[in-house]
Amino acid sequence: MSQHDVSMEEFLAPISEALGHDAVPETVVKIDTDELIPAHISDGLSAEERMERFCAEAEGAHVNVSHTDRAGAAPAVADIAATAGGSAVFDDEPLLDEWGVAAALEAAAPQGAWRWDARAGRDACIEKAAAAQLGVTVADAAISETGTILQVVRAGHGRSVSLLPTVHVALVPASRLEPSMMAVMHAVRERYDAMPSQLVFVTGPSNTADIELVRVEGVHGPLTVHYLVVDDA
Amino acid sequence: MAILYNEGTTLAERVDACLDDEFAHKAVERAQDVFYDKRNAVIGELPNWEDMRHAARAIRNRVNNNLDYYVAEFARNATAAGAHVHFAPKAEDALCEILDVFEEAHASTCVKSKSMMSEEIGMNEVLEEAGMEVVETDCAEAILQTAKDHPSHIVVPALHLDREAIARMFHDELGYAGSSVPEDITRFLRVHLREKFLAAEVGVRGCNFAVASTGSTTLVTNEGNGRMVDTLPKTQIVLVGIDRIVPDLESLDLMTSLLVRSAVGTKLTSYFTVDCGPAHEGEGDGATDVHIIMIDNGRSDILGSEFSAIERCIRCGACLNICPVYRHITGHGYGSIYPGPMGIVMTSCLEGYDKVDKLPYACSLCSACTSNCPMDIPLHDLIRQHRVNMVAQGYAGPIERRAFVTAGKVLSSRPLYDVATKVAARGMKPLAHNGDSLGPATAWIPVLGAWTRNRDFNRLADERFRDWFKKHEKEEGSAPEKGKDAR
Ligand code: SF4
Repeated sequence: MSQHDVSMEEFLAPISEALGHDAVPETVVKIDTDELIPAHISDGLSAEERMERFCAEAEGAHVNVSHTDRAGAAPAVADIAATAGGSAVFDDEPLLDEWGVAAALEAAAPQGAWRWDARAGRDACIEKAAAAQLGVTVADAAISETGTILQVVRAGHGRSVSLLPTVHVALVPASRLEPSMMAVMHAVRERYDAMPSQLVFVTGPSNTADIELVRVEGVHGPLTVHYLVVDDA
Repeated sequence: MAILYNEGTTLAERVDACLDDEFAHKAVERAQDVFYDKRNAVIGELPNWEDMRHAARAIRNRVNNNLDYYVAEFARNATAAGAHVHFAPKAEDALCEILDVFEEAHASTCVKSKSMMSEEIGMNEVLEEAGMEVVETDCAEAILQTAKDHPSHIVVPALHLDREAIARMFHDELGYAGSSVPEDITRFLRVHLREKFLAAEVGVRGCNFAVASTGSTTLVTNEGNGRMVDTLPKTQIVLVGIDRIVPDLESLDLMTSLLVRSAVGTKLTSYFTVDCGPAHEGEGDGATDVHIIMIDNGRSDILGSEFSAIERCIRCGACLNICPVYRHITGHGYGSIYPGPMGIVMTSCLEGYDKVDKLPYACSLCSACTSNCPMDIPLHDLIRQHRVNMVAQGYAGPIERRAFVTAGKVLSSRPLYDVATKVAARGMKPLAHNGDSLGPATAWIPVLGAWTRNRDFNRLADERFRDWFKKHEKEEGSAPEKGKDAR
C-alpha cells in the first residue's frame, strides 16, 4: 500500500498558504521563552526550603522519601533490597561504587544484583530488568517544585532500570536539586552537546484512575518508588 | 474509528440514548466534580496562573503564526537526531506510512499507548484489516478495545463503563477470573500486557509536545505504558499532529505544568519523557528505529480560518470537565472522539457542517470552558462562530433556533433571570465556588449563557434536561429566521 512519499516542501505548502506566507520563512524572531514564562514558586526559596518542598511534593506524589549521608546510602539500599526480595538491577554509575551501594546490593539482594551492562545485548538487558524485583538508579537532577527526579538515558543507565522492576530506588544527591523543570532544561542544554536519547522525569509510582476514577498505584511501571536523598555536600 | 462514530445518527438521537444511561451520568458528574476540585487545588497554590496562561497563549500563537518554519525546524532536528520523519497531509497518507513501517520491519504486532491522533486517523481498524495485532495498553483504551466501545472523555476515555461490566468483559474476552475491584483488574492488565510489551515488534505512540529546537517528542503518562512502548519494541512510530509544536525545551516547563494541572489536577504525571531520535549506540534498550509521522489532516485549513485559536489546544480536557452540557449529555452524545467544547470546535472544523449535524448547538455558550482553558482559547466564541457559519450556510434548523429563543425569554425576564442566576450559582457550584482563582475571567458569571440559564430555569420547574430536550425537539415545526444566528 505504498503511495509516493510526500516531501517536506509539499507538506509545508498548505501551511504557508494558510499563514499567507509566500515561502517558508528562513528565520523568525526567536521566541524568548525564558523571558515569557513567569517565575516559579521555588525560584525564591533557600536551598533548605527547596529541599523541604521537594520532599513534601514527592511524598504528596506517593513516593517514600528518606534522607541519609554518603556512608548511610549503602545500608539503606541494602535494607530495601532485602525487603523487596528477588534480584536487583542497578545503574552502571560511579557514585554507586563510590558510596558502596553496588557492593551492598550484591550482598543484600536475595537473588543477586546485576549491573546494567549494555554490552550484554539488548535482549539480556531487558530480560534482567524485567526479572528484577528492584531497580536502583542515581537521579541526574531533581526538581523542587514538583518532587520530580530526572533520569538521563545513556549506556550506563537504561530506560528499563527505573521501569520494569516492581520497586524503584532512586538515590538523589542533594546537590543536584534544582528549583524547576526550567532550570533542569537549562542544565541539560549546557551539559550535553547532543540531546540524550531520552530524558525521563519521574514523579512517583505509575498509577491510574481509569476504572471509576479509583486511584490504583502500580500499573506498568514500579508499584513502589523510594527517593533516598543523599546529603553529598 | 476516525473522528465521528455512530455516523448516521442525529445529535438528538445520540443525546436521547445517552440520557438513559444512569451510570454514565453519575460517572460524568463525579468526574467533573473530582477533576474540577483537584484542578482548583493545584492551581490555587500558584500566584500567577493567569500569567502562565497568557505566556502559554503567546508561545503557542507565535509558533502557530510561523508554523511552516517550526514544522521544518522540528523535522530537520528530528532527522539529525536519527529519526525518520514522514509527512502526511491526510489521514490516508499517515496510514500508508504506518503500513510501510510495519512492512519494512516485517512486523505483525504492535503495542500502542493512548493517542488521540491514532483514533483520528482510524489506525487500529486499518492495521487490523491488514492482519496486524494492535494492543491498546492504556487501561482505559484496553477496556474500550476489548469492549469495542468509543471513548467518552479525552483524558479518561472509559469513564462511562462501570467496574462490574469491565470485570465481566475481561472475564469473557481474556479469561480474567478476579474480582471487580479496580486494583485487581489493573493488576491483571499489568500481567496480561507485560507479555504483550515484551513480545511486540512495533510501538505506536502519540506526542504531547514536539520540540522544534531539538526534534524531541514528548509523552505525559501516569500508567507507564507510554514508557513501555518506547523502551521495549525495536521499532517505534510516533504520531505527531502539526499542532503539537513548542519552540524549545524550556517551554516544556510551562506546557507540562498547564497540561497536567488542568487535565488531572496534579503537578506532574508519574512520567514525563522527552525522546530524541533512536537509542544511541551502546545503549541497552529503547527503539533503534524511530519513525515520526507528521500529520496535518485538516489542521492547516484551521490555521487559515477564524478558528485558528483552537490550534493552541493541548487536549487537557479541562473544558469538558466544566461543561454543563457535557455533564448532561455525556461524551457519547457528541458522537465524536473529540467531545465537549474543544470537540465541538475541532470536529466541526475537521468534518464539516454537513457531517456534524447540530453539534455546535450542544452548547449553552456559558463560557465556563473559556475561563477554564489553560491556553486561553475563546471556546464559546468559536462555537458561536460555527453557529453563525451554519446559519449563513443554511445548516441550522428550527430546533436549535427554538432552544435559543426560549432561552432568550428567560434572559429578558428580570425575575426569571434572577432566579436562574441564583440556581446557577448553587446548582453549578463548580463554576462559581472558586471565582478568585479565575481572576479577571470571573466576569463570565453575570453573563452566563443562554442555554445554561434556560436549563436551570427548567430545573426549577422540576424538569430535567432530557425532558427539556425532548420537548424542544417537538417544536421542530416552527420556521427559522433566515441568515441570522439563532441565538
Ligand atoms: S480547548 Fe483548552 S481546555 Fe479544552 S482541551 Fe484544549 S487546551 Fe484543554
